[in-house]
Amino acid sequence: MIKKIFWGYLSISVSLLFFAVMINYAQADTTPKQSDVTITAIVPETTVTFSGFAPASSTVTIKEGGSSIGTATTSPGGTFTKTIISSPGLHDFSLYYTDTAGRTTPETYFNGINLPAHVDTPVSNIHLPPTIALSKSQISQGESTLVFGQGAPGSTVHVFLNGAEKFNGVIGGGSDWQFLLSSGYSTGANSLYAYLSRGGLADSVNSFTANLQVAPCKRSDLNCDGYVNLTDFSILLYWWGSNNETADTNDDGIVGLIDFSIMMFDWTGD
Amino acid sequence: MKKLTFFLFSLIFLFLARSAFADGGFNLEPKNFFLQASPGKTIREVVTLKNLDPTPKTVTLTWQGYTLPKGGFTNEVGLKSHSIDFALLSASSLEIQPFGARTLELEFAVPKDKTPADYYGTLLAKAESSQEQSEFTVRVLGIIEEKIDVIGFSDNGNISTIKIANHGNQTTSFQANLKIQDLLGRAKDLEPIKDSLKAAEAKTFQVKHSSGLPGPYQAKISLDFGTSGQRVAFYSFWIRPEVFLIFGAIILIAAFIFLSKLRRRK
Repeated sequence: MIKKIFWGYLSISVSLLFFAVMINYAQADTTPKQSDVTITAIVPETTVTFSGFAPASSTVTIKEGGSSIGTATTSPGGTFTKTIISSPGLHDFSLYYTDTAGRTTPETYFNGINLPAHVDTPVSNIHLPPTIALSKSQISQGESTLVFGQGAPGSTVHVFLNGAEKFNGVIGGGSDWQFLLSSGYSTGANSLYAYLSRGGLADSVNSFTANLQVAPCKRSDLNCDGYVNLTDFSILLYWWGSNNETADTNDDGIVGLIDFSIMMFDWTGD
Repeated sequence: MKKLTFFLFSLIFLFLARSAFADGGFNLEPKNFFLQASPGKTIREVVTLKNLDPTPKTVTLTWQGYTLPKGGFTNEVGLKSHSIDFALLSASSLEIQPFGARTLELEFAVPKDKTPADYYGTLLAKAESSQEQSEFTVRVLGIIEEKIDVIGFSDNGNISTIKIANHGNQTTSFQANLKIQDLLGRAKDLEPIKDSLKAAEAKTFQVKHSSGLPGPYQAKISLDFGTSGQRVAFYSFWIRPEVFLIFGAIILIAAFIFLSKLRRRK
């Protein structure tokens, strides 16, 4: 009897416990649960990395849409790298640099660069043009001027005078290049520009154009060597009495005493 | 005496010419930057200063936060919150040799808690009487908020004056199309305004139009801004209301007299 009561009590207790658990589960299941889940993920930025060659210690400026979007200082070896955060899609970039003397170059354009989202797009082997300047932008016939500038070390500079190549040479470690222009120019306006070449790279765009104004020879400098001396006197004597245009300094139609007097006044010697 | 006067004048001229030449100034390049960064990142940029004079020059460099002229911004808080307060200059002054060039490094360490938005500032370089500046915009990447609003409108009969403000968090370009309509429903499209506004900036624009007849008018301003933002605002205004009222009163009186006479005849 007690056994029956015990088993009955036990089965009822177990059943009640089972129902209680089920009801609790059912209640818990119907109640909407709220919990905050924080997911931390690092999404890579969309970037573009520019790298290339320019004079040592120069400042490379990267532009887009009229604004500067980044700058980089070149290494002593003349290389630069700059990574810029951008947006996916098509972009038109341009680069130029300012050398250590403050001279600048024309912009080198990279149009239609497509940047995929969340990855880095490299734009490498950029070969920026040289800077160019003249020690004297106005000279007289027979005089010389120093043409100089800076460029990426190891590149070959090609200098053009009035459209024809006048000089070329490899730029040394200091990034400076120069040559003395003493002939080949014409009276009046002359133009000079340069570009760089380098094995395995595309040629740079042209530098800015430097203008050289050449005045005719000095008065009485008949051989246009920059001096009025004995050589000019000899030429004057040779043309004495004639109407030679070069020796007839005062344009009176005859090479004579007046031209000689002017020559004495302009005499420089040497 | 004449020669002496001429000599003295020549001396004055020479001194003036020399001082003008000595004040050739200097160059600061580049003039404007647009930089993008994530919170917590540091960007380093370089500017070049070139002395254009044959004498050495000491250039003083200072950083100036976001400033706009009075009335040119939405509110002081907005102006302050969009100011670059995380710029560091590598030097406060630079000695530049005659015709020489020097560089200055600027470091922008974007704080980790910086809210995504555009931040503005200016690098000021001063030497003697000349001043150069370079404008900086640092876009801290994140949620873009483009919001351009018309905050004021008036019309004096010949010129419509519209005040447009940027309530978003970044520089946004916009186009405002204006249409004015008179009492009889005749509409006139005015020349559209195209410009861009920095965050918290407010600008006033004026559009000329042919003078309309006196009376009430309505202006419809449609704004297209940013990537896909659109907003339409309506404003009512009067052109010479006193003329309109006088003429209106005359017409009413005339009509009243006419009707009175008509009744008497009957």
